[in-house]
Amino acid sequence: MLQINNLIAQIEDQTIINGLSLTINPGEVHAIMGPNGSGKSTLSKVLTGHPHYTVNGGSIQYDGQDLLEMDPEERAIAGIFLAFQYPVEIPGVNNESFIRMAYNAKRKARGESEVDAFDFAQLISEKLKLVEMDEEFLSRSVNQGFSGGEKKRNEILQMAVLEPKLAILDEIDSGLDIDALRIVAEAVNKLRTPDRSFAVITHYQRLLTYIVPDVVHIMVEGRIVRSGGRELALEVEERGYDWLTVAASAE
Amino acid sequence: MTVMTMNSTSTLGKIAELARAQVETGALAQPSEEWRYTDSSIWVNPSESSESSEFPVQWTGTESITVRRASEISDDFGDQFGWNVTELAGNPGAVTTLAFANDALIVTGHGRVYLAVAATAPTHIPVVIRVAEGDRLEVSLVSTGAVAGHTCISVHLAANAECVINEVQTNSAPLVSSTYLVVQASKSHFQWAGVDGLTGVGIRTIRVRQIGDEAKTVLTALNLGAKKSENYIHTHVEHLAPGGESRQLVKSVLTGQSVSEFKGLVYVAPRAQKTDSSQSNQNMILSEQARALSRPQLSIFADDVKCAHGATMSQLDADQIYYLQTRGVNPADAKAVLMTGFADEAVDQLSMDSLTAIARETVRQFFESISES
Ligand SMILES: Nc1ncnc2c1ncn2[C@@H]1O[C@H](COP(=O)(O)OP(=O)(O)OP(=O)(O)O)[C@@H](O)[C@H]1O
Ligand SMILES: [Mg+2]
Repeated sequence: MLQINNLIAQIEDQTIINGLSLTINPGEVHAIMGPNGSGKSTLSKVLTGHPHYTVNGGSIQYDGQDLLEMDPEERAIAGIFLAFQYPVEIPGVNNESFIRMAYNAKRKARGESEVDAFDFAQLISEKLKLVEMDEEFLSRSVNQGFSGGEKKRNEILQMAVLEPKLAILDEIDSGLDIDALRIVAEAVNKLRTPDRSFAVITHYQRLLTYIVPDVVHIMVEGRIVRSGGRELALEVEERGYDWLTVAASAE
Repeated sequence: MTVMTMNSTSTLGKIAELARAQVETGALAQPSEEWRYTDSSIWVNPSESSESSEFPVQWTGTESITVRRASEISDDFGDQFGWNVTELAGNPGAVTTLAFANDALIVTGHGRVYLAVAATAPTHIPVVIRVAEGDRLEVSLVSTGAVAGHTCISVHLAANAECVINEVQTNSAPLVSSTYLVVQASKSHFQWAGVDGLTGVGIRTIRVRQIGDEAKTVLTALNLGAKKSENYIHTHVEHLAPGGESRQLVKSVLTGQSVSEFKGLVYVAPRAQKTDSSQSNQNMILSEQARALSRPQLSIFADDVKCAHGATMSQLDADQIYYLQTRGVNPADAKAVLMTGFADEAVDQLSMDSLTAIARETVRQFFESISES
């Protein structure tokens, strides 16, 4: 599904991703952990084509295509979804119309007819239940004035509607209270299918007790320095990242 | 400075000059006693007016609205200025063509009235709106002529009266200007929402005086500037009695070499305690040569008041475009959505469906022309 090979990416003359390789197969859940500033969000931005980042080395194959040749919206239509660490507020744009627009953009690309406001209202009310969100959030402007946790739920709501092939969840657990964490994690689990893949970026192994990963990667200074099973998450929770940082720089 | 190509001997030419002079010097935004008590008739004095012009006024008000001769007003309002007036007779929905020289429209009653002014010669139209105690009057104003025009609207609101004015200006006249002089008695409510999609010069001068307690004023404007269009919005809201509220929101989207200026003064008199006022000017500048000038001002002489003001200048937000793209929306659609979202906040304030539709269409065409260029 996704093959990242020796990726090098920079922003404003600063190399952030430095020789990163990662392969995610259909249906797998990969957790990515690592210290602040190690480049996790940068990786998610590069995967979704943020215009401020430039790639000057390596390759990314997605579903047999050269991902780096695709525009951000083409990647989305091809099934990549990013739940933002910091979801963007869009004043004046109605949340429900926004999600419908995204939904219809995908349908249009597949040659299907667009769904009207009435039919979409039914569809989304089902999805709202999944994240236990109030209808009220649909009539507000996109993320505007939403609390941190509400923004995260709104991201998962979009994911539920858009049904991606590869979902990248960047710190979906940060800012969530204990109940919200459980709700969001359960929603993600319900969306797990044999061919839908997830990259779950997190600092806390608690999330991984809900969303159980197949592989855990540790990212330090723009590279994956160690990969392992679930127990790796527990290990870094206990020992921190120092031992891996030392090991990485010794290489 | 651009020189107006207009017959300088005409009244309209003088008005335009005056308007421009006011714009240049900022005379209307100064809190000086001098101008505050200046007779507004310099704007409306029809004795100088010699041209006659014809235009249809479409009257779609409810029956309880009368639009009639100025001289019928009991205080000889018309006589005072020597107006020679024509009665707008007929049924609501009728289109009446007025030959307009030394003439004025007087609107009273309650309900809705739609005034479509399609001038064929430079016009200068005084409109007097009087809303009696407890009444609600809604006026929609559109000019469709291709010549310059100036409308001077004086609004008198009695206690508990409500007046809503929608003004959508989208024609290609060289100058379309309107001046409002609003006087509000206690607990009255005045709301004005305007959309300027003019290709020439648009000037809105709005002066509001809250003379009674707890009056409320809401002013919302949207300017769409393209090519060499110029838009000026000058407001002057005077809180002269306690407990008043005023909200001003002025938004501009500017491309080409267009210019937009917001100059707004909020004056709070010493006795106007508990005044709550806000002024916000938001500009979205989409080209290198477009300019927005923003001058919100406060002049406060009471101590227990809440007054907020602010101005923003921005371009389209790259992170917002990217966010929409990650949801499958292409950049052109993303930009259109963001700009429409910006405009909608103001368009939504229009209270007449047919006008809202015109405004939305104007906004749509405006953004379409941007994305093409
Ligand atoms: N515009 C920029 N210019 C220069 N450096 C930047 C810019 N944006 C991000 N960086 C740097 O890139 C590095 C990686 O940031 P990134 O957000 O990817 O980290 P992260 O692993 O997601 O961290 P966290 O766990 O705190 O979310 C950081 O050192 C950050 O300061
Ligand atoms: Mg991050």
